[in-house]
Formats: sequence, structure tokens, C-alpha cells
Amino acid sequence: MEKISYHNLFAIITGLFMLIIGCLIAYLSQKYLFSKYRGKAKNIKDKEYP
Amino acid sequence: MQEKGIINTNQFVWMLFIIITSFTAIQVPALLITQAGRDAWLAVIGGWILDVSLAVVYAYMGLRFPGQNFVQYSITILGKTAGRIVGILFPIFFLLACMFSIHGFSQLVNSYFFPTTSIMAIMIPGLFVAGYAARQGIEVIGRVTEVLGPLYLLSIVAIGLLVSPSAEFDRLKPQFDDGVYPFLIGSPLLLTFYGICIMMAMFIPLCNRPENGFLAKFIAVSLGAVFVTIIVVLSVAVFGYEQAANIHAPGLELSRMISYGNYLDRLEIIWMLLVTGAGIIASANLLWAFSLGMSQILELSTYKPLIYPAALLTGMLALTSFNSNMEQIRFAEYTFPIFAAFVEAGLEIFLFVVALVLNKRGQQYDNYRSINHGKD
Repeated sequence: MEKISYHNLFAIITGLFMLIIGCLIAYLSQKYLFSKYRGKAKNIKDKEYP
Repeated sequence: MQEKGIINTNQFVWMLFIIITSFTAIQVPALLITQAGRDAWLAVIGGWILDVSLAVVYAYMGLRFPGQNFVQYSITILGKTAGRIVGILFPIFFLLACMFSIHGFSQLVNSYFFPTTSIMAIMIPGLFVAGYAARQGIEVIGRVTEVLGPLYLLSIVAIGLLVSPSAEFDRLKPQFDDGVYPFLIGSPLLLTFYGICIMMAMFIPLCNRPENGFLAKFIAVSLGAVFVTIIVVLSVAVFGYEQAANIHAPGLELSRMISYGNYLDRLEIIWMLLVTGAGIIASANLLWAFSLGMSQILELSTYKPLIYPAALLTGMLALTSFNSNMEQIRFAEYTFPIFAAFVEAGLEIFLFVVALVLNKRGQQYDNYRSINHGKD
């Protein structure tokens, strides 16, 4: 079977792009949304891990 | 008190990782390769990005309604009657997932190691152990996963390294042979299996740092994605995608390929031990979540009396639902993903939108402190 190099390169670029987008979503959410709750959020019993 | 245990972020990560891998280690890679062919590795990344996006919603809702899981905040948002109708779907989903998990690994043990043994003889002890672990509470399950999780991750890395001499990575080419359609179909399919980690909404209220819920989920699903990528890429590279799609458990078959002289071979038993351990602990987690959710719907003071009946119900469902291995594969390929997508994405996004529109919030931390501790 013919190995189409153009498509292979496109697949690698797509994969890398998705990885970067996923990491970016995680970084931005953590920095601008969840870090605001640091030390403020409570758990069900408001206690530390034993 | 419903659940007295508290977990730390580390246990949060490993519990989610064990849940993901217990599903994805068995038949999911084969299903994914059937759908996406050589592009299955891209579908793994696509499923990962979708799951990370969904995790933002779950983590945010866990903080918007502090101290409440999704069964509880369904009732807070929608009121008692409608909230219970919506909220009960989450525990039912966990029961279904538990049935699927326990049947999957029992079938695997039966097919590969004890072909003449009744599947019931494998399933019932597994369910009993899972029920026993679930009855001990979330802290016990968390500690077990802290031991099992790293071993499991190391095992797949070791298998990957040992089997890599047999891999021919040219078999991954050509990519996008049928366009982008296979990988676009494969990504949501994998999301429905990663998505069992909506369990994070049950863990956030019990975590010592609820604000780390998203981070824990991100780490767990990323490790899970690495795990699945290794299996999928090596399966295609070793067996070719046509053959890998027809293998029941590609991870197990890969470990069978390892043979260095007469010294290092038959390593599949180590893999099997880990799959069984992870399957039982994931089932324990799912039984625990089902029982806790149902006890909150029914307003019971404790969830523990529901554990063994739930285990019995799971066993009965697992034994009577599938007449053959093929029926279970069809269930995994068609029925389960539809129901899972509805619960994991549809219901939660619906609750999120309603909470925003109606401006519903849980009891805020400052009020909570002043009410409970007389502070400020």
C-alpha cells in the first residue's frame, strides 16, 4: 500500500495541535477559574486528610 | 452521616486513573481501532481534549455547590421532585458501568485463563470483594488505588518497552487514509469511556482540597490517555490494524508477545493480576457511588446497607444481560456510548445551564464557616 506522506504529516500536526489546545484549556481554566477558590472551597466535612 | 471518609488529591488522581484504565485495558482499544483504524491514536487525543473540556464543567459545578455531589445539586437546582428524577440517572449509570466492568473482566479471565470454568464462578467472588471494599468506604478504596495505580502505569510502560522490538511503525501509515471521519467518530466513542470519570463529581465534596478537582481529573485522564495510546499504537504496529480490531483484549495479547529467550516470557499473568485488581477496585468505586447516590435520593441516613444488594443486582444483570461475548461487544459499541453520552455530557451541561439561568448556588464557604464555627 502506498504510504501517503502528505497525510501522515497532516495527522501529526493535527495531533500536536490538539495536545496544545488541551493543555491550554487546562492551564487557562486552572489559572483564571479554579485558582480563585484556593483555600476557600470547603469539602463535605470541612476537614483535612488524616 | 453519609460518608465519613476524606481523600487527598493523590488518591483522587489514582482512583480516576484506575477507573479509566479498568475499562480501557480490556476491549475499548479494539473497539476504537475498529472505528478509527490506523488513526486510533488521534481519536485517543480527541477523546482526551473533549474530556478535559467536560471536566471544567464538572469541577466548576463542584465548587459552585460546595460539599455537594451531582445527585445533591440536581435536587438543589431543580427542586425535590424533578431533581430526584434527574439525579437518579447518575447512580443508574454507575450501576450499568459496574455491570459492564465486572462482566468485561470476568469474560476476559474466562476466555484466556479458565475457559472451562463458569463465568459465574469468576464474577461472584469478584463482586463480593468489590462489595466488601465499597462497604469500607472511600478512604479504603483510595489507599488501595494508591498502591495499584502506579504499578499499573509502570506495567504498561514496561510492556511497551519489552514489546517494542516486535513493532513495525510503518503499519501506522498511511494516516487519514479514509479522511478525518474515522478519527472524528472514534473521539466521542472514547469520550464515553473516559467519561465514567464523572465520578469526580462524587469525589470533589470528599476531597481535602476541592479546588484541586480539575487538576486531579486532568492528570488522571492524561495518564489514562498515555495508557490507551501505548496500547493502541503498539497493537496496530505489532498486529496491523485489521487484526488488532478483531482481538478481544489487545493489551493482554501484547504482553503475550514478550519473549526473550526462555528466560522472560509468559508475562501476561502479571498483566492479568493488575487488570483483575483494577477491575475489582473500579467496580467497588462504582458500587460505592451507586449506593451513595441512591441513599441521597431516598434520603437514607447511610449508604452501607445498599452495597451488597447493589452487588447482587449487578451480578444478576451481568449474568443475564449477555448471551454471548458478541452481544457484550455490541452493547459496548452501540448502546453504552449513547446512554453514557447522555448522562456524562447532556445531563451535566443541562444542570450547568439551568444553574446559570436560575442563578442557583450552594451554601457559600464564608456563610458555612460562620454558621458552623461561629467565625467572623
